[in-house]
Amino acid sequence: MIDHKWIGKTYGPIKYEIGREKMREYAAAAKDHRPIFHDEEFAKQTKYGDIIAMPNFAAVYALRGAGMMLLDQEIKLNLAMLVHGAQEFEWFTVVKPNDVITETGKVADIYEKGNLDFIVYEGEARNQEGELVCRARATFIIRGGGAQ
Amino acid sequence: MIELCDIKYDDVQVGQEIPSFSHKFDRMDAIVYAGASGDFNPIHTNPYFAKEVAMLPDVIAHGLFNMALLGKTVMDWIGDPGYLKKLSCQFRGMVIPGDTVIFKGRVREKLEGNLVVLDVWAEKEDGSEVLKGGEAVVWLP
Repeated sequence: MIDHKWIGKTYGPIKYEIGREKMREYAAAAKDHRPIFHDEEFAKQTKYGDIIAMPNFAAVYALRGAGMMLLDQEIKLNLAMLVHGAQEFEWFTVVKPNDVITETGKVADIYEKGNLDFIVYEGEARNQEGELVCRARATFIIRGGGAQ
Repeated sequence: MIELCDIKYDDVQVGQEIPSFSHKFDRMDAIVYAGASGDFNPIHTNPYFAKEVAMLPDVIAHGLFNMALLGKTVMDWIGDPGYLKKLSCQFRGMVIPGDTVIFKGRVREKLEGNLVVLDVWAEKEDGSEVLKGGEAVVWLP
């Protein structure tokens, strides 16, 4: 069982600088080759003016705090038995090359169901203008008991 | 000016299915996704670790990889990725190398403010669940 006292523990602020090639690499890894993610010349002819990040790239820029939570040496989760149970992303604006994202996050919940332990991370990502870019909520499940 | 979205809110019907997307998962997909995402958990990349330590049948696809393909499926329909406002799902069935996964969506509801809510999910060829209970919210002109 994971100690419920960790609910509310915060991570960040964590800075992430958006790299053009990293955006492209993520979209390509997700089998998404549409030109607005890859081709500047195409993007210049759209309202965006430059390539935009695949929205799911939030898995990189809005979940770094979740990675810190999973490796948190105070909580000591059993990573070999951990699976990602559910994920929500909500987007408010697009991400472009050289944006600087700042993420803040927290342990939003810890609970048990049968012999499964659940730990929930919530993060919020803002860009260099302070605009809200994305909210992310990740639920992780630890099979057979939570902490080591 | 190129318009990325060629569907209109008024033309969308509740109950309509969006074009599905099908992908056969290869162990290289997980290695490439690990590099792109920074998630190097060995249950996705190291068959020895996956089987002997984590007691899985083989390496498994990243949940977020499957979710990204679900996002792609919705974006293929709306055309403009900036119109995807929300995406959620539960990660259910494990996907191992050789599995073919089909990503699907159906319009559940049209809301005021030109928002459309879809049920989205993914299943294997035998109908078993991969991504369940998913929801996408899109804005359409």
